[in-house]
Amino acid sequence: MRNVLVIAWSDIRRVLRERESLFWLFVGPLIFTVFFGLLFKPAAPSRPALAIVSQDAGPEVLRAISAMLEADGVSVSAQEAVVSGRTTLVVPAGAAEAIRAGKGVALTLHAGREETDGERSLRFKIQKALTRMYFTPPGSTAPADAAPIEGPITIAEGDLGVSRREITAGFQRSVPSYLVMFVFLNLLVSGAGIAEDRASGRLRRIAVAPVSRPEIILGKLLGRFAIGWIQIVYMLGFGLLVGIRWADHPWVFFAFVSLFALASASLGILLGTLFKDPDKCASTAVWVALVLAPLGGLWWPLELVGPSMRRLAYFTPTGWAMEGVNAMLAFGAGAWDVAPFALGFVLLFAVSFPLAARRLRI
Amino acid sequence: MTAALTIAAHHIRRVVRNPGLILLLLAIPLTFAIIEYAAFGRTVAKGTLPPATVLFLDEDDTLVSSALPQVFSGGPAKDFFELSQVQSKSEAVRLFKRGQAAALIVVPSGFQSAVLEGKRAELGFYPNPVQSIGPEIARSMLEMTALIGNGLYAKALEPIAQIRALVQAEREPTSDEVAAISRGFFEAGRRLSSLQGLSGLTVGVQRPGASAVKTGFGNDPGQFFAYVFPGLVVFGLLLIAQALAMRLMRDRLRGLQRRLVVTPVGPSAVILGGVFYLVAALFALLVFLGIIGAVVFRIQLRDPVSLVAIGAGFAIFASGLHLLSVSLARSDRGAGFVGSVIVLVLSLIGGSFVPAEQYPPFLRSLAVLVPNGAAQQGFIDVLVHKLPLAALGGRLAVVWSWGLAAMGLAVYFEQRRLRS
Repeated sequence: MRNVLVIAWSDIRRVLRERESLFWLFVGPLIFTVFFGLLFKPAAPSRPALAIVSQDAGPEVLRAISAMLEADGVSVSAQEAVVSGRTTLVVPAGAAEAIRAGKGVALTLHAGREETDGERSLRFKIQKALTRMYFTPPGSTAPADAAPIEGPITIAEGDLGVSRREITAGFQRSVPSYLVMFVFLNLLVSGAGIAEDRASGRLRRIAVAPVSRPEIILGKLLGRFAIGWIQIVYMLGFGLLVGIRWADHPWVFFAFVSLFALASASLGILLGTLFKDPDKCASTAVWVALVLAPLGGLWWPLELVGPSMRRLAYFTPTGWAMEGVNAMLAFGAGAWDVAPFALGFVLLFAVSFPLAARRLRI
Repeated sequence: MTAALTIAAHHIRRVVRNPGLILLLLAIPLTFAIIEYAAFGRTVAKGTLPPATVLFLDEDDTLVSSALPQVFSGGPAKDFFELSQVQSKSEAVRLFKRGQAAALIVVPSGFQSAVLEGKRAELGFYPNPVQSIGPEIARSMLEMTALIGNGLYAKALEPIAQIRALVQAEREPTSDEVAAISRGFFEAGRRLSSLQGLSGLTVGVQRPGASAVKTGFGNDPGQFFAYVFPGLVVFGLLLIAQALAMRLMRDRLRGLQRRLVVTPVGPSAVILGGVFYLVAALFALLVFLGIIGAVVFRIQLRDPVSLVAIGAGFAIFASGLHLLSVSLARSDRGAGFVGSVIVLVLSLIGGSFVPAEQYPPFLRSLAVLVPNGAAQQGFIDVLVHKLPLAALGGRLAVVWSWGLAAMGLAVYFEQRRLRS
């Protein structure tokens, strides 16, 4: 055991002496976390603004829609013409008459280059206002104001017994995402150290000392696992510093990300045994990590992507990690809830570590 | 000059003989482009967001309750929602926790009876706390559905209420009242039998630069790639330039450069050889990526002169930058460290990871002042916005100024080092 600790400690010291390693352990994650945390910080709720250009003869439709949208939280202003860069609704000529006659009418929303969630929400609100107008058309005896239509059907909003937490924006998203990403990236790239140890003859020199082969490989694993821990503790500390809310079961959270680090470390060692050239090993590790990061939902919330990509995340270790972390941060999930993902890490470790141990040529 | 070209050719031949690392780095922009298209292709390429998954729990199991899902899964709403039936709320909780659903709609037992009796009929709406976009839209849709239901109900109830009033008053209706009740039933029947007017109430979206409704980047994947690929290429080239420059660094550490300098070719030829090698290799790889973009991603490579002008400027910058870091560094680790930090910072500022359009105004203006940001935006201006060379003056000035400055400094420091 002592030999394992000596080898691990030697590797840790080497990593902590290298400026590049230090940068990617401590500075790089901080740059990414702060940059994207600030860039996508939760925006204060604001009333969406909409300009309305009415080409209709009378003001009925303009007034009715404006009243309904204002009641629905939209800030409406009447304009003479469409202004570039401003979300504008154009009410065509003859709209009031068409609605009065129960006919269709096509309004046009002048929007940005691509759809945003605000724009989609606005479209639904406009459609809702139009629907309300259809049943209380301009000129009818019933007022086309913002009051809801009386009727038996009502909507009761509730929750399913889970507390709401914002995890899609700001530091609350960037800290856990980049914790997962940099633990994975650094431990995968650490595999290049194995290739370098072999290329430089360091492994041979260790092997001639009175240490066994299992001690060498365990020492390498322990060293990398410890680096993963340092990264986890560092990111957790930074998260606490910027005030993000952590999991309800901190020890489950810590054990979960530790298990992820263990699986990542063994994957890194396996990668290191596949290459002779440390540069190629490091580049492959970077490529693998950078590919699995977006696939696992580390760069953007998976709710933004299509169903196929969402399903694909379940086949990646980064996806397991992020799903587990999200479940713990958003719902206060406990050990049983994240157990399937943790089992994935155990399996990954159980496959990759023996394989790495077998492949390691000293 | 001949000696410099010979040295450059020699460097390039070594890369060609052992291209593994460069091919790996080339794979980065290509893979990212594919991932981004897989993630957002169907949505961003169309200029629209992905559909929100709405769960539906029918505890009533009646004609009315079974009709409700069609509001979400059919008609104009079908592009915005994906409906999925669940058997229990606990199943919905499980899907919520996985982030696989935006909201749950519950039709409680007795809903149809309540509607028919005119009593309060409540639809349950449960938004997913993990998601932000989908629940809000699902809520609007459900409110619209309730509006339609209540609206139709109100139309039918109006004449019924008039009859009830007459019955309660225990008097005979006047001819006007009979006519009003008849008209009410006729109107209700007409609207209930046909919702054409309602379905004809549409809100089309007009996007800038498009004559047709609903354009965004168009339905052409080539347009999507023309927008995202340049940033990835620029990022990839910065990484490749670093890997190519590291070969020069290792030559230096192994003493190869020293042996070359003592030959009759002299230091200038050695330095120029390195410069030619880097610029030519990067430019060739840029052309290669451009061809891949055209063939695989169907990007229309319009205005080649502009593309070459931007690409050449950027190749000079990337070469100069990493030559500079190599010439100033004492070890390959040092050069790798400095190069990585600069690539990271430039890529973040320049908008390689997130389109600069999403940056706050200050950062957006900064993005086009860094060489990679200017090159990326220049490529987009040509490929997407179809701007001519004359309109790219600002972008070209930024890219070439940085390029010449970096290359000038690199040559100066390399000369100083070789002479010392």
